[in-house]
Amino acid sequence: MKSRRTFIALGASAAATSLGGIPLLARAQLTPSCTQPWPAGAKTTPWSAPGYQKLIDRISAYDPSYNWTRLTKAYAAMRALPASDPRSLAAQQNVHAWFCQTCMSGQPPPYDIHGRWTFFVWHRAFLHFHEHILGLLVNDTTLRLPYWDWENPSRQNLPNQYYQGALNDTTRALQPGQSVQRNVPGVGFYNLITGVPPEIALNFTDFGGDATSGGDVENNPHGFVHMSVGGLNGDMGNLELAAGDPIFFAHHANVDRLWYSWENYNGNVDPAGLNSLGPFTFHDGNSWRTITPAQMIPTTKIGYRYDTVVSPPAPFRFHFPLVVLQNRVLQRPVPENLAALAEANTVAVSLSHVEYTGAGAFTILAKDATGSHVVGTFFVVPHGKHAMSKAHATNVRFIVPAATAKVLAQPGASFTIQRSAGLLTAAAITPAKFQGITLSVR
Amino acid sequence: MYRRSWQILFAAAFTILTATGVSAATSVSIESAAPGSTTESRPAVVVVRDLPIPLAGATVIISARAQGLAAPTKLATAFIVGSGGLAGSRERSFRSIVDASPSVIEALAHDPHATITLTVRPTGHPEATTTSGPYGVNFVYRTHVN
Repeated sequence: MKSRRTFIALGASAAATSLGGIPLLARAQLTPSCTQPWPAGAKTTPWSAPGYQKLIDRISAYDPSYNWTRLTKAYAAMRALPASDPRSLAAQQNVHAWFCQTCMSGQPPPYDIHGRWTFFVWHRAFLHFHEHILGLLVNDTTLRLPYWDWENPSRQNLPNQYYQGALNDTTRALQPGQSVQRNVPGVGFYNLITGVPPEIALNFTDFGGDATSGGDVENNPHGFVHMSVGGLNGDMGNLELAAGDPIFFAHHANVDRLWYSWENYNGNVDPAGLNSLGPFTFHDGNSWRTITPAQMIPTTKIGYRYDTVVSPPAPFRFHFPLVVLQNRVLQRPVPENLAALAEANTVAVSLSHVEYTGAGAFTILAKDATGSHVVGTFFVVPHGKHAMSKAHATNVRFIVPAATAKVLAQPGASFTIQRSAGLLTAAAITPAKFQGITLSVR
Repeated sequence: MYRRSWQILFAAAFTILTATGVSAATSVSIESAAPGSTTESRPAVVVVRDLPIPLAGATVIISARAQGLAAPTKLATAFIVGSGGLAGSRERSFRSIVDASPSVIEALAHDPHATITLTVRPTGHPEATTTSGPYGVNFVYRTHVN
């Protein structure tokens, strides 16, 4: 099979030839062979957990105590191995490629592990053996992968360490200092901050899928982060290439943490059907082994847990509309509603039938005597010249600090909408047009 | 130039495939907790079954029309990662949390003529965007935990 990376490499080579040897595209780092990872006829033996002496936490990549020197050394050793070595990063990449649609399209489970409930448990096992191999390479099996907690609004830049040395991948679209929470060209936008925590309250089928369908975590935050980091041409943006980027494992550690959070929330129990999946085959650093999902649930069986969990927000219990006329708040909310606002932890602002024309980032601002306050931003991807010239309307909902909510609930507060169509286009600010505004309080 | 040609080829392949291979079995439903049930605090989800998705990946936007709503109103999205070098499509089923206010769900539940539309935007190829539907809104109320 000729992989997409090979294609890009060929394109880069052609461009380099025609432009005096200056490469126009990022050089390919790894090329998965997309062949069965274990040699035909290779003996695989059932794996058993070695009896972990103590549980070790996986901690955030933003935790200052994380041992980056050890992880970087381990990835350097992994990269230095020849692709024929099942412990090499190229071979690890190929394991993921083999179990995704590229190689296994149309095959029944356990071969195609995406798009169904095998997603969580297969990746948990993949990360465990990857982590174990990294540990063996530095003679320290207490090594644990960090997780990139992208649902945390202050941790949405790709951790800086992943732009350095053996942890770097030059094919990424996400640049240093850029937030993963962005309008991804050719893909779209997903609100990780407000989208992720409520998922923990879902049942397993909605959260993690079933035998024939994928769950919300796979298709929303997981997929969006892949596309935001890798873009259209980067390793992370393509299933068969993704595991060649070390950030894949920190990203998936956070996906696994979401599952761990679900498992530890409100007495949740994984569906019994998970135990009948597999077996799956992995290299444990010494030989090819078969494992069953039951060996991966709960994580304490394989020697780790997470230092933090994600909890779903309390539901919004109190809703009240603001009285507006031509985008200007007319009346103070009644005392009962003001009291609810004063005691609020979080306020959601829902605007109905917000009018817009064109594409780009549309930021709604509330203005009062003290200045302008950002309510929130929604994104519209270009969708054809004819449609772009017409006025459209949408309903939007933003989570705002209670202080902002108090500003926009005051009589006289007015709303504007600012459209930014691109870096080189001046933002246009016009009065916002909408039909109603409701505050939801918890 | 080389990449652009590839994009055009891909778009053409996808258009042909979707024009000839759209599944008649695609279905959409909204699953939400029954009012007053023990699962009432759980978010609603949209369940899409057997929708052709490009192997290169796609963003699916699930939108609704109902009396009293701006049209169309976005209900949910799904970001399905694929592999950019692949042409063709495959039917996929998935679930996505509803990313709209409860009043939108209420409007859909109370309008017997409400409909849902699915927009599939192939990753990197907005020119090959396809729309399917409208589908009638099928509500499934859950009263059990799993």
